[in-house]
Amino acid sequence: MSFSNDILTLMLFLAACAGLVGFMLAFSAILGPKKQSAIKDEPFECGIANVTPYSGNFSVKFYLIALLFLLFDIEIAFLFPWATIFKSLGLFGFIEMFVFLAVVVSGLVYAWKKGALEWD
Amino acid sequence: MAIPLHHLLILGGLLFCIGLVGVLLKRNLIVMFLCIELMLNAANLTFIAFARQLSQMDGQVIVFFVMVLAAAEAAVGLALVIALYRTRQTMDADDLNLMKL
Amino acid sequence: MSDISFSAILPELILCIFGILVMVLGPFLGRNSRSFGGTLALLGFATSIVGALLVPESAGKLFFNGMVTTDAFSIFFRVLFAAIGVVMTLGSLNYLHRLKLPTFEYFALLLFASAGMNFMVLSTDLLLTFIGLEILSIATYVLAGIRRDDAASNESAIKYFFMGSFSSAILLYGVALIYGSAHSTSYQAILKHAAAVNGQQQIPLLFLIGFGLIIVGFCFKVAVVPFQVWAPDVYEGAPTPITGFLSVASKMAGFAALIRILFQVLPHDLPQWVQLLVVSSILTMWIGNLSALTQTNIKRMLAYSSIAHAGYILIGIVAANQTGITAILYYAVAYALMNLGAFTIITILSGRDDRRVTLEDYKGIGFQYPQLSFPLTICLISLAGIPTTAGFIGKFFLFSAAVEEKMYLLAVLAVLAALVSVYYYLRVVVYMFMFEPDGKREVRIHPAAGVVVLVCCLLIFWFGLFPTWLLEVSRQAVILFLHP
Repeated sequence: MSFSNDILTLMLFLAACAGLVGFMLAFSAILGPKKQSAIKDEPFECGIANVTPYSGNFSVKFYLIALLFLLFDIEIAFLFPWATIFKSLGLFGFIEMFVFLAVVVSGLVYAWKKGALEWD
Repeated sequence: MAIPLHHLLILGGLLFCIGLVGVLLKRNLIVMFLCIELMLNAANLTFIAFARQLSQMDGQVIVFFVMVLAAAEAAVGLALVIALYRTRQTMDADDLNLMKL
Repeated sequence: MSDISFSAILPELILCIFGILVMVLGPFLGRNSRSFGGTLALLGFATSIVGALLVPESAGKLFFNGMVTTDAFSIFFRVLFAAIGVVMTLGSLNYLHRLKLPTFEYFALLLFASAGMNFMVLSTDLLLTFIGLEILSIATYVLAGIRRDDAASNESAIKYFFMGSFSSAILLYGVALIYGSAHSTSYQAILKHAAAVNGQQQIPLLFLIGFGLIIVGFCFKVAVVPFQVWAPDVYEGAPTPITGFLSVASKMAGFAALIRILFQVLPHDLPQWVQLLVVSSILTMWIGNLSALTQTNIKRMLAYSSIAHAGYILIGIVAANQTGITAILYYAVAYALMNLGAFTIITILSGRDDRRVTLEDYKGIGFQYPQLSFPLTICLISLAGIPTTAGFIGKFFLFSAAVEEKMYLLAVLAVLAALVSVYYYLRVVVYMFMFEPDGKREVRIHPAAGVVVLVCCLLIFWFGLFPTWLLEVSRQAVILFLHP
């Protein structure tokens, strides 16, 4: 396996990629028409104007729930590799995983007690 | 047919470059954050590609850890953006000029 | 699985357990028992010092599948970080009360950040180093923005977050390339690979680029030129005690991890990087010091000063001899003492809304509050490197390390930079003692913060006049890097 020679090719390709990206960006910045408008500064560039301008008040509850879901959902990802070799790990692995879960649950207890899970 | 290692590495490198350039050029905080996530995922893809090439589990396990760290980072980062939006009503990196340069 | 040893990571376990305890107990106890969080955090940091001293020291043996070491270097920094935690806790109790900040969350994050720093210094695997770095970074992003209603604090946290996660991503991509090249992320395996690759004619590009990215990532974290632009804004806007923490603790953790990577993993490739790091060191010292000259905000001034100090520490790294690395460890302690001392005093003086941090605010406080102005003077002259202080001894050994390696230009430029820095440190002293006060102001000194200031000042002189013990401890801690 001629690893390093291939890598050289790869790196040249990478440099070419970076160069191409830089070239296109630079030329579009120089040549392209510049029309600054509020829509262009929108976070989601799907081409459709926002129907209503976002007001200062939006509910943080949605964000909180989504955030908590994201965090706990990802933490659970650790359970999958554990489950595949559960038997060979034995009692030690079992206890370890419960220590991990206890740490995760302590986060949940904190969020709960802080009222992050209440909708009203 | 299996995808050769090179293609994965090139894709990873491209994603990384796009993310890097995006963070430097974009001014909207959310888009900048997405670009950082892109960079992290480029690294993830590289890990996976090498792990498959080497028939190792290490690279795949690393990706799990990186995913969790990325989620924690996302949680904190978005919370900070919301806190900023509440005090300053802006999402533009160029408006962060409270402290003189 | 015989190498799983919980005593090897005892201090980190203590920090994590106390961190979780403080976090979970917070909402149960409510606002009435604010000082309880501080007490618990103090207990956690103190136990962690004891735990770090109890860790069985062994340079050769690795734990947790070759991921964790318990060498003297890691123990040195673990004790230092826990001690910084104690100082931070005592120094910020009154600040949190004054600004009505969430005490329990603050201390929990401080404990987690310390655990992250510990993992950075004890790790012998790039993955664990990265995880430690992220634990530290994520905790400090929140700490920088813990004043949620304050625009400056928010802005500082956002800037720190974007710069921090950007550099983490660069570092991680570097780790991925190294993994592909060395087929492992453990330091031992990478060292073997580096030694094997070193003899070959063809440049191992993947390896080189990987390490380049890792070093760039760390340079961002420790704010070295050309990756220092974020530091002044972040330091100025962050809550004052956190500015102290960022400029001392997270910087030292970054340097400690960088030293381990450079000297334990890359000893053969180091010469390739030295030229770059020399240039970076000179620029860091000069840009930091010259920019500090014109600052009127004392936090911003100390931010530039901390950039300059990163430049001094880089001298020890590029010299790469025993004097140099020993001096870095000595300087880490000295720098922690003088910078944390200074920031504790600035915190006391920062007023009701943490805004009284300009030079104008320091007019005439010299004789108004001698119990604060004299210790601040001591910290500042130590930062400037005036003899009889710990700062002087540290700088002396760092610069003489460069002379030993015949890097005369570097040494001369460093001495000149240090001379320039005397101007802006002493300007604060001049403002304190030579101007009339603008009027009476109420300053309350919490006994805990008072003790911290006193101890810092005493130790600055103690280590300045009798440096032998600390130098010997530092030398013992770095011995493993010199005889690989």
